[in-house]
Amino acid sequence: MSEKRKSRIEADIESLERGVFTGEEGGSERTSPRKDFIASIAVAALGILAMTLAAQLDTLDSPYTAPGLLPFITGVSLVLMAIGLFEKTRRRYGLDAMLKSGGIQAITDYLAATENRRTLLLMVVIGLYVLILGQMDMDLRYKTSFYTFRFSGFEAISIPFILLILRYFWRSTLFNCFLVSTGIVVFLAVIFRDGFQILLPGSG
Amino acid sequence: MLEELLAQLTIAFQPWMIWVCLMGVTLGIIWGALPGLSTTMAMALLIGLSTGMTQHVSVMFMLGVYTGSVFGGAISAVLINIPGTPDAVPTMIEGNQLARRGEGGLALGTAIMGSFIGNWIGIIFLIAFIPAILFLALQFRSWEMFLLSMWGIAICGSMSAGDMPIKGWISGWIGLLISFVGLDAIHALPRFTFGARTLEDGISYIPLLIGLFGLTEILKVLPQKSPPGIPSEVGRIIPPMKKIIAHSKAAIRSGIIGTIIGAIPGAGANVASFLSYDIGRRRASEEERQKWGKGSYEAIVCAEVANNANIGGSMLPTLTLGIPGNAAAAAILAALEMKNIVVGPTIQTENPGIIYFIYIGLIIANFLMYGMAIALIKPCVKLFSLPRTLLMPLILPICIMGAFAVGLNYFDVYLMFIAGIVGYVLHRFGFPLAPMVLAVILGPLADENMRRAFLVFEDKEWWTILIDRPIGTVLVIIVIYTFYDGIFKRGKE
Repeated sequence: MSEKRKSRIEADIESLERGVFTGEEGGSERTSPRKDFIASIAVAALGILAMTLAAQLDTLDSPYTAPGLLPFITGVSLVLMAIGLFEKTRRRYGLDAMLKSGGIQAITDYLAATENRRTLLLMVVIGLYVLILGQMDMDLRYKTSFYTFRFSGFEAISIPFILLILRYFWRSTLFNCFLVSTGIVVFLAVIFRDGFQILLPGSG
Repeated sequence: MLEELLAQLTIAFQPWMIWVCLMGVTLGIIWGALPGLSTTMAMALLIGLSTGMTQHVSVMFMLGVYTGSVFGGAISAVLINIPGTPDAVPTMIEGNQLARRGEGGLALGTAIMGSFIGNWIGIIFLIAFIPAILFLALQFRSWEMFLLSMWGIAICGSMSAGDMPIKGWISGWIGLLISFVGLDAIHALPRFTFGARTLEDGISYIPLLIGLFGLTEILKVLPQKSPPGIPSEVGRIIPPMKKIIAHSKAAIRSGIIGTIIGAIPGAGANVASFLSYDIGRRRASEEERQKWGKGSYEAIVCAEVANNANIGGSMLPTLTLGIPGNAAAAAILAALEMKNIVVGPTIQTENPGIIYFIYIGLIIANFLMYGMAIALIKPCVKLFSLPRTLLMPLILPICIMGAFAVGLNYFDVYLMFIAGIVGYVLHRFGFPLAPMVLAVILGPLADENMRRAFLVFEDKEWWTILIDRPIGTVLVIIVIYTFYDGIFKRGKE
């Protein structure tokens, strides 16, 4: 079942017209009973995990100053909130709507939406970018009488990854994407490194 | 006091400071004007840029960014019917109608004037109320600080999640768990570190802020396809004085609403502009009300004054209690702490003069905002021709550099990436992100103060904690009411 989603702007306009309070970040995403059901299970699991880990911490001199005291209370509160979320969703939509699971179909539906596929791809590309940049340790310098030109691991990794993202999402020519990615990465590197004396990742 | 004020004035009016503030305001306006790039995102990412600056320069820069970006959203809202920031939605509804009738410039001019007035109201309230709140804050002990921190997280959850406050609270409580990672403040015992030495220092909230408000935003916006239309003519910008005076009553009312909303943790410019717009409609004259929704200048005044007055309001709890008024103020707090400025009740004694510097900085930023807003309208129109699919990837390296710059530790970049993914998932499940950031900031404060307070009351009956501290008792009632309101009132709407 694909969920009908409203954009942030649509939801905000609707709330203004109805005079309904949607909150500082409200209306940005419409959820479904199934999502709330999954969320309540996940939050309860997180609460139980927090309680377990907190209970394992040493109680040193007094139980009142035990390092695990507030984490334990937080875990208990999270479990209670998960129950609250479950109950609220059940009252609003009914248990059937919450438990109606699409199974594999739900995943297929999710992947069928172009926007979702693009998001997943973007996550993978950014993940690789972050991971590879973390392994880099390079800083080439070319000294001239007026300026020291530098090319570090940051530029070496950022340029191709930004190029890749631009090519896929912006869909301009390869040359344009290369020009933009090189220009912006070099510009940012110079501003941060030379202008504000901030070290860049991947530059040793 | 006068000596301190003069010293800060001398620092603030140095040409370099004005230049830095101008740079911050300009970046803020452009950032806010670009659809999809929010004020919080601007603040979160530009913290990285401020790491290389000195204390005063960094504060001035961030105040410039804050002031500029809150206004910036109005430009794209009026001209291309897409709000640069969510709080510009009311301005978009009214301003774009006017722009279609060829009055776009005047609508923007009204928005600029509204923002200018709003900033002033916020600053005046900030200056007027800081001494009183600081005096009150000095009476706070561990028990009160614990309750105040918990109330901050709870009210932020309520205010940011609308009809599902429980989701806001869950987000805040997850933030609390994150804040417990590392060595605990009293016994230096590792908590939730799983044996990893890197985690013993705790989780820095700046990479988290960048991930939640920078990377999450990229993941949300970049995969969408929505090219905006570009306006051809802007027209006259500066509104006639007669028009400004005609809306002065609405401006003052909206300024007060904006400031009060700003002072409540979690309620930011968005709630302020929406509430002020709604109240403005109810209070407007019959003739004016007819124009509401079809292009009303008074409506623009209501929204813009409120969201800008919010800046001064949000600084009030941030500076006096160390509790950020909203997510953008959390970024200001991060920038201040990064420069070893201890915010909270002792700010005056530990950092003499810094409050005066912040007042002066806000005033300078406001004047620069007014000038730059007029100057930048036409260049911003050109910027709108840039597709978001081009802009968003360019923000990615800023996220990475910003996260790394804070501690020169690549672990923070991994943290930023994980926060971005978690933020995206939470967003898809309808959880607000601001309470989480607030909880990560306030968690250590809450933990340490709760245990200290319990230690003080260890030998007494448990209920004495409720009657021995009157301020604490009031706070207990407020905390209980916040949950009651969220569960039994708001939750049923």
